[in-house]
Amino acid sequence: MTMSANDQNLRVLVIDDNQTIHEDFRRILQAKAEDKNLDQARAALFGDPPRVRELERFELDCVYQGQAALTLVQRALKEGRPYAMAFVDMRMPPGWNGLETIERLWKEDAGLQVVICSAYSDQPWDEIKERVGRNDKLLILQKPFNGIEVLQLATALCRKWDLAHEVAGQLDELSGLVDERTAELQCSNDQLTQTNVVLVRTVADLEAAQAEILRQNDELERLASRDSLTGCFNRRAFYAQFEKAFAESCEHDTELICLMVDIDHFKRINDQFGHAVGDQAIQAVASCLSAGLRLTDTLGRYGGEEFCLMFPRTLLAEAPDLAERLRIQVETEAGDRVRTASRLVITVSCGFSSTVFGARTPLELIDQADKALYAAKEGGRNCVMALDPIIAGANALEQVEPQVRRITPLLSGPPDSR
Amino acid sequence: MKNDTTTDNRRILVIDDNVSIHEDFRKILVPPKDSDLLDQARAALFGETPSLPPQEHYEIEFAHQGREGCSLVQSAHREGHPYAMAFVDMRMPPGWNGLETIEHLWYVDPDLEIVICTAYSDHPWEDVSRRIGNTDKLLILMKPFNSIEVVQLANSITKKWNLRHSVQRCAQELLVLLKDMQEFMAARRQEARAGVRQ
Repeated sequence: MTMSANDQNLRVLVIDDNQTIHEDFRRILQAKAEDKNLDQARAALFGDPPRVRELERFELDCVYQGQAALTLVQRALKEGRPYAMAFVDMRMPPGWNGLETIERLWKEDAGLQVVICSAYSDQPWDEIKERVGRNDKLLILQKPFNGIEVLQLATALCRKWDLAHEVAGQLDELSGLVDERTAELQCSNDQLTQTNVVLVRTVADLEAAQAEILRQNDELERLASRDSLTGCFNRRAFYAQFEKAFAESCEHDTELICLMVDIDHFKRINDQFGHAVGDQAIQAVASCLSAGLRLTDTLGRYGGEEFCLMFPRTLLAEAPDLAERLRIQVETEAGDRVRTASRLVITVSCGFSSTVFGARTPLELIDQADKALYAAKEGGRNCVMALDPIIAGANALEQVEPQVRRITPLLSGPPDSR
Repeated sequence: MKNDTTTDNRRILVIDDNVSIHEDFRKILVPPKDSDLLDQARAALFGETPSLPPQEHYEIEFAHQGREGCSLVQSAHREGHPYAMAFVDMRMPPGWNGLETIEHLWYVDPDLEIVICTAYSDHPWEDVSRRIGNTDKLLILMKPFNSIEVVQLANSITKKWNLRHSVQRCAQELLVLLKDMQEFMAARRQEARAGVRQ
């Protein structure tokens, strides 16, 4: 149907074998121009709106016979502008009578509203009832009829046709609209999904980047705290930990042992075998020392060939064994670890001190251990010396001559050979 | 209209000062129940298909005067089960005549379909035309009338009321649906924007 829902269908078909009836319908349904002009003139003169709204202009077709009507209805349907209603006379010799006409018209166009026009004398009631009754598209108009009856029938039934048409049209529109909106939603949903995929990917990328940064941070931190040659803590990192451990020992009143280790005659190794071997000697000593550590102990490379170790929560009485074991470990293993120089002998001198000797700062404790190390060097190297103040509890360094105690037993052989 | 469940409204009001007319309408529009049954029995016995679709079941009420009819229409409309149509007599002494009644009826329920029942002598038609204006909701039934005229009017015009009702409800549903969808789309767009910002 090409007619849009807003257009009114005012097409009326009159089927009557009587010419004067056609004229009556035309007079009633096609308002004369003068009437309208009069109405408008009155409205202009007296300022009151016309009481009767402008009559709807019915589009009227009149035919004499049912067959002709059928042709018009068929053509109207084909053109997509069907009739809204038809007035059908009951008796139309020689052709179809009213009932037959109506039946044939409805077969073509089931939506056509019909008014059957009959005179009392026709007495067709039972037949009408039997053949076309109880149909919601049929009304009866008795002859003789009055203009207003016809006008109201035409107005009401054209409107009814429009309403029926609108119901169908609106349903179409509704489903069309739903389809349209559904497609729109689908599209927006797809876009969202795409955006979401991109977002998820971006988030994943960001997370990976963040993990990489964290990993690199850790690596940097590790690099910053490690000595590149030996892999153990460098002086700065070791000292930071040592400070922490010192504070902890003060706080919990536990003993902290500091052990200084220095490679004996390192200059001689360097001179004799070159710096590469010297570096390997340092690595060998570091690995021997770290192999002998307990979990709580910490090893740092303090200077060129000097290492510093700490033993937290360790009694002074335990320290000699720990230190001596490390020294022996170096003596027996370090030389063999340097594979590029055969039969190399590497030894270390060690000195330790404990917080029980009254060091007030971490540095002071290291100094004490350093004193003991110095004594070990003086005492022939490859040995362990412990600080051993005369007056226990007093500050060791404040005593006139710091006392040390040799831990390593003296060997029978000449010390110079080392 | 408060009640949307009235998908098929067959409520009819007859306003006539003559009680025998009430009885005529009742006989025509609410036939005894067994007439349909009789049809069906005959069909079953003789293997015929019933010649006619079953008659619509109308809910029919009566008023003797325009004023009374008007208050019935008003309360029915308010309570959400309006009448689809009214048959209104033209002359109802001592109260409002048909035209006055119609004006009052449309004032309380503009959707009411009306058939005015009149004899030729009742009223000058020019006056009727002027007073009612151009409306599609008024038909004229000339007295004396035949039952088939009433049956067809009831069938056709209640159908028209229901069509109009469907159009209106459809339009409302369309609006609601549109609004829902617009809100939904707006929400999704906002979500999308929020999602992008995150």
